[in-house]
Amino acid sequence: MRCLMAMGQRAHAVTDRDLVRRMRDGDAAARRVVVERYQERLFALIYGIVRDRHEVEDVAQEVFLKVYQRITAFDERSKFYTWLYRVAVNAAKDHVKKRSRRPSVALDEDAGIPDGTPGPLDGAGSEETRARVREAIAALPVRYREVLALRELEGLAYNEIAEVLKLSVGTVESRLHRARQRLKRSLERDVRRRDSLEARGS
Amino acid sequence: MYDDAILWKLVDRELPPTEAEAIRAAAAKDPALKRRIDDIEAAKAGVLAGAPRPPRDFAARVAARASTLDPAPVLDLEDARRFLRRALVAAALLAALGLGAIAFDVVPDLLREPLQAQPNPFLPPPR
Repeated sequence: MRCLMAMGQRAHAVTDRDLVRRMRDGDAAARRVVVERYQERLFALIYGIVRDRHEVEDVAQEVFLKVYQRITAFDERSKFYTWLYRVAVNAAKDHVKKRSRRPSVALDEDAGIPDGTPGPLDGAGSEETRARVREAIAALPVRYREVLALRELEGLAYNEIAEVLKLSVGTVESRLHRARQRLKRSLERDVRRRDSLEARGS
Repeated sequence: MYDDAILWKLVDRELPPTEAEAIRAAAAKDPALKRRIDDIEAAKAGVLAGAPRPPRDFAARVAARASTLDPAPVLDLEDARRFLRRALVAAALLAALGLGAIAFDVVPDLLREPLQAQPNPFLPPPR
């Protein structure tokens, strides 16, 4: 109990390394601090891959439970957050795979419909631009979505993305480049289509 | 003058500072280049825009589920399945390579022709 109170008072000052050690000892307060510290980033990362707001919470819960169960397997030589992100990316990819086996599911069905609680990046660009980008990203293959999401998650460096995905830095760079090229082509197609519709309408 | 890959690296802050400054300075004089950089920044911002925020009681919900967990570490079935898939693919590739080598006669005929006995240099030659 004393430990829990102390954690509550100075949770922000506790390092990830300390949290890992406490979780290994079964400290429930440490688990809670990990959730509070990483929940927003994990929601964003999982959404970046799953692209469905309604499914993010379930996947995020699974990720934290897996982390608790596997914490003894975590190698302390690597950074805790890269390991956590790897668990999250794998869980999100597995979720997408399972979903693809189910009969048709509309991706990002509420794209463009604000739910009243702004996300961490809301406010950047016009809503129309963001909705178009969201649709274009949802159409990308998962291997491209994962590098894009990791890159935009606090601007992870290419070498950190490589560590999370267990890829070479060169592969990360080329996947990012291809993902962005596809994104650009898709957005340009969209603009051309809208332009031609407007021209026909006028 | 600048291709998209360079501009993405600029926006990703992965360019050396001197190169980044040179592009920013060029963009200040070139509206078309400035627009391309703005478009890339908008696309970047859109990648995670729309992500939901965790509900206020999310940590409590996770804690409630965690309290029902088996404390003993369990075998992760997904990891095991992933490992098995990779092992099967590797085995199939090896088998294909082996069959290919046999079919195209790449392997030396060690199995067909017995090795010829080499004379031992430390023994006197046979009479």
